[in-house]
Amino acid sequence: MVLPAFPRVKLWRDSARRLQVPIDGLERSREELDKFNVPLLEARFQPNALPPAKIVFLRRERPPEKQPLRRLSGVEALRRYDLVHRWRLGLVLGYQASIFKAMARLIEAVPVLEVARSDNFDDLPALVDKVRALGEMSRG
Amino acid sequence: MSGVYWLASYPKSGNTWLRLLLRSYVTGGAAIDINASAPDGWSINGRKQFDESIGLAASDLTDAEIQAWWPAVLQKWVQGRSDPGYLKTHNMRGAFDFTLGAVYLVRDPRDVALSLARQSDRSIDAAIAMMGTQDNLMDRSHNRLQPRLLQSWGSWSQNVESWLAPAPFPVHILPYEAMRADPAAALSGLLPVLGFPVDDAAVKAAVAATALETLRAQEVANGFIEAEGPHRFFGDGCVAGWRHLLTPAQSSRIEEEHGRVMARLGYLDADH
Repeated sequence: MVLPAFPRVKLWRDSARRLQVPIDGLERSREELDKFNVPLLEARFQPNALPPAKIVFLRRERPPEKQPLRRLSGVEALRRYDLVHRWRLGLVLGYQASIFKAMARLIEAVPVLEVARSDNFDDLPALVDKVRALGEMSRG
Repeated sequence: MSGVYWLASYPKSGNTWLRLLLRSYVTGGAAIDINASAPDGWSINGRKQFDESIGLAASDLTDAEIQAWWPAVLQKWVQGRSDPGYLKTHNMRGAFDFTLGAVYLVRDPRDVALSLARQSDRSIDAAIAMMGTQDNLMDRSHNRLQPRLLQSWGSWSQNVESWLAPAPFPVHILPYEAMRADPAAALSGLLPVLGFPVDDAAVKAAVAATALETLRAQEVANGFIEAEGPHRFFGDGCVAGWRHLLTPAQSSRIEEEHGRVMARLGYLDADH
């Protein structure tokens, strides 16, 4: 099961402006950074644990349209430790075996996909549609 | 032996051309694709590799924290290799004890200003101001995430002097103007510093494979992954183009701000 995280996202000032998300009065994620903790409205937050359906990694590519959707399998998927929050810390604390076993179970249970994306903000709606379509496929 | 050979320069001084020359040379002078991934050991992909190495996102760190952590990331990258790495940098020289040697490209700052203005899509005056900014840090993530990690360019003079200073490893100073005049001789001269044997046939072939016209044609046809602004990355490579394109006030400002270092490199007339 996938447990919910905190009901917030972190947004840079320019992203918030482009997404028309007001940031006045919001707490900065770090005092030195123009990056804000934006609380998620209840309607946009999933508070319940859900079974995983797919894992989608985003990879920055130029130009992304020439890069097809890739399915990662075997070792390639297993090595995507960046899926694990603070995985370096986990290794140092001696949890390497636990992380490995959890990753192995996860990639065996659900498809791991990689979607190319651009740096262009104008491409964001299409990227969202693409990722949502992948989610819909898993429900169908 | 693991360690790093630096391919260093202030931006717009021929560093990309040098890397493509070397990449062609090590494959015997083969044709190169300007958008192909760098060979193993020729790139440490700033943000991604940094994040993976430390297990945290640089996007949540301050400039000072990134600068403090970067040497350890490099050290770890070096320790994971059994052969030397060849890394490009626009940073001022750092005190890394794993450095094996360096090639430092220098270019007349008056020409750098023209090229920097075009690449960064700024006015020439803005480029000159950037080159004169002491301790200049580039790609700082303040109100937006920059695709690259923080870079410590310093001013043009600071950057050059950091690499000209006595170092515990060999530093080969290569003027861009010399590389343009005779690329084969320039390449042959720097290969031993980087631990490569000199193969005259491969040198000749590499020079032919990386002619500026070829690189420009590839960029026109396919774009260039390292280009950031709306303008072409590969310019005309002109030497002393500033004489026609800078105003007297602009060239005087550069000479005033960087004259001491320019004189040291022979970029100022004797009667200046």
